[in-house]
Amino acid sequence: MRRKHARPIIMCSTETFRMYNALCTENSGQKKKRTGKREWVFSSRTPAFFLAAAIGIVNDKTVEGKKEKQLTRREYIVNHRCFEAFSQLIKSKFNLKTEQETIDKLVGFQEAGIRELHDEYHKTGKIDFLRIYRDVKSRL
Amino acid sequence: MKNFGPYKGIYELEFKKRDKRNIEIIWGTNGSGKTHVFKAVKWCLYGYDPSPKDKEPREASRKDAWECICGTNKEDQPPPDPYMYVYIWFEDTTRKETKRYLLKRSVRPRSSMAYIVNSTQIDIDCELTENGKTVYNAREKIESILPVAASQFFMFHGEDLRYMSQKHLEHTKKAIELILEAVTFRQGISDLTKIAKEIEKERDYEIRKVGDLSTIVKLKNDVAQKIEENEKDLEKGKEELESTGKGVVRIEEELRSRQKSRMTMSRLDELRKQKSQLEDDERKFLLRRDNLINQLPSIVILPEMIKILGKKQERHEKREKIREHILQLRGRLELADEISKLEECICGHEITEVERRFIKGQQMSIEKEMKKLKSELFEEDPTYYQLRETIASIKSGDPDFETLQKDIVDLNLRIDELDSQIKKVEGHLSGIEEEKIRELAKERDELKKKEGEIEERMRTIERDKKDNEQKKERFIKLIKQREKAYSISTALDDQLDMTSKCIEAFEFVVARLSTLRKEQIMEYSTYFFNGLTNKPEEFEKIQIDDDYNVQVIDSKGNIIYRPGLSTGEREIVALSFILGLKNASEKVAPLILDTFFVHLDESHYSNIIRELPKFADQVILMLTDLEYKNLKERAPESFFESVNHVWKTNRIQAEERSELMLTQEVALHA
Repeated sequence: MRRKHARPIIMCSTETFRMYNALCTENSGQKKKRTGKREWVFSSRTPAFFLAAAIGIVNDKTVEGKKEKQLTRREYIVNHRCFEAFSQLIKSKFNLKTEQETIDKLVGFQEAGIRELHDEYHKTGKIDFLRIYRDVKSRL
Repeated sequence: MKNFGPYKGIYELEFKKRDKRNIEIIWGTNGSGKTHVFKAVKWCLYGYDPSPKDKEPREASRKDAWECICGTNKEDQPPPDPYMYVYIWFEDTTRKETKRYLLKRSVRPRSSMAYIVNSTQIDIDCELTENGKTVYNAREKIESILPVAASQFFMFHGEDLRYMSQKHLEHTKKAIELILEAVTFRQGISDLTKIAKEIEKERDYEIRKVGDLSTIVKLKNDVAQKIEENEKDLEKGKEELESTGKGVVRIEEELRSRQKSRMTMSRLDELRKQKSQLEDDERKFLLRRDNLINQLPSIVILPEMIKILGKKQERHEKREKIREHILQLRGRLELADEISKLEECICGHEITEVERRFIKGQQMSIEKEMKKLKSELFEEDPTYYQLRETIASIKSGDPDFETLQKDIVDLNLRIDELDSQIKKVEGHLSGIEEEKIRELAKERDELKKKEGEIEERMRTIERDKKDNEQKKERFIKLIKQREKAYSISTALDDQLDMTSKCIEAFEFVVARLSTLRKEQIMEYSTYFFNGLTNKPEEFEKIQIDDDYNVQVIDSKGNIIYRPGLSTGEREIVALSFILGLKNASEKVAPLILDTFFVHLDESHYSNIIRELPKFADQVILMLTDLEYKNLKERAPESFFESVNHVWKTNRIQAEERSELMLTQEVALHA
């Protein structure tokens, strides 16, 4: 049955939810900056969501599965400065019409992208944004 | 007199008393000018015609003079001769030395006037000489000889007499008060009352000022006590300041002995400060980094977006090509249409049927081609332009990741370096020494702060003390003022008492004088009444009661009220009363009686004729021709022995003037 209204909460898999917790300060239950080598990478889940989705799109990888955890509020995603560009790309690439379809597609991509980010974080203790940036620049 | 009233030219009347002859007679027909002689005397003396009907004596005016100069003429007609005067020569024989007076009152046109038409164009002069010497205040002098108020009892018309006989009450009171000069007293009482009120007001004001003296004294004492407290506080503050200063000196000495350690400490503090600044910078860099991370996803998908845009652009270019082709065909079709409508070619040759058919064929083939192209033309993708704009904006906002990363690395290096320096310095300075120095410095700072607070408190106390001293001075000044006000109010109280006593004295004098004069007036009036009445056995005396009612008491002691008297009797009572007032006024002057024999019966008439020479030193009678005829017939021979001059007034109607002349009777009786 088709839903009449857009869903206010974006859901994700349990695994993804844990990865986000590892990478972001949000919902960590710790207000202080983490001491030691490993530190929080993202200030909130929204930039992590978009970067993961971007990596998923670039690698053209999606992960489908059961979504049972509440990741973030829909309005945080929709009102982010990157959403317009992602929306145009997804709609053009996959010939989608509605915003909900676009978000659903993005959720699939971010599921794949966050795994890559988490892998890197797990191995190196940080995420090398400069490397990501340089990779993109080389492709342009 | 000259040009007075109806009299044109100069007339001279002599009323000089000779031997026992003290009666002057002026007679004439009605309207011949008798009364104008009477008026001339009054005008010369007072400048106007005072009458018992006047409520108050008034100032003479030009209007009064204008009435005299116009006489019987209408007011709007200017007098032919504007120069008028009346001179009176008279003697005052009441004193040891006889004084001779000449009173001149004259009217003349204003210097610039050729002729006069109203009262504003005349000037009045008045001059009085006493034994040939000019008296500067003529009006006052005349008032002292015969006051305006008293003149009503010396010069009166028959009408005035009848008026007095009808309405006693108010005029009796007024007349008595005139004689008493009670107006002056009353004015004095009123002035004194006013003064008393002013004094009272001033005294109340002073008393009000004095009212809160005790409060001011209390306030002054309070302020003095505060000053004492301030002084104590200041002394205490000085002691505290001294002890704090000693403490500071002691700590400074101790700190000086630890000079080297202190220097190391200051270096350590500086390093820590620098580190905290760098940490602040780091926080700023982290914020910038977060911002760049937010932009990074858009950059990551940028190659994908460019790829999609490329496909969209190909499609867009293909569409544009078809559109351009269609436009070209449309141009050609329009040109063919235009040519088909023409009759001949541009070069002048006529277009043949073959050529027309060729053009038609061309048109059809173009239309066919256009139809085919239009079917091929697809719709423009709306997202193409949006995508293009988005890519452009992402490119323009490209974050400077390289620089930021470099800055962060540099910053971390500097922080690490500072950390190592701090550790090194901390190693030099033992923990115990640092703690001691910090404690001493803290103690010194606290003592200095305390010192500053004590100094500030002392300054405030000094200010308070100064304020209180100023207040005290003000209160002392105020107390002095109040004491002065108190003495003034006491003096004013005395003055008020004195004024009240004066008012009481004035009132007593007025009451006493009034009683005395009333008795005197009653006595004189009764004397004249007994001589004039035809029933001397029926009436005993004339009485004036407390309400100033003039009453007649009969022989049985009963009061006879006015309605009980006949008109003639009432006039006799009025005449007696006036003569009584005249005598009571203690002034000496000729008595001028103008036509007052009208209502008198035979007996009253003869009584008056008999008593007339005794009325005053000199009597001037104004009589109508009928009265004069009666007089000649009825008066005894002895009466004419008292007559000095007889003047007759004549009216010359044709010339609109009157004249005065001595009659032959004078010769007969003189």
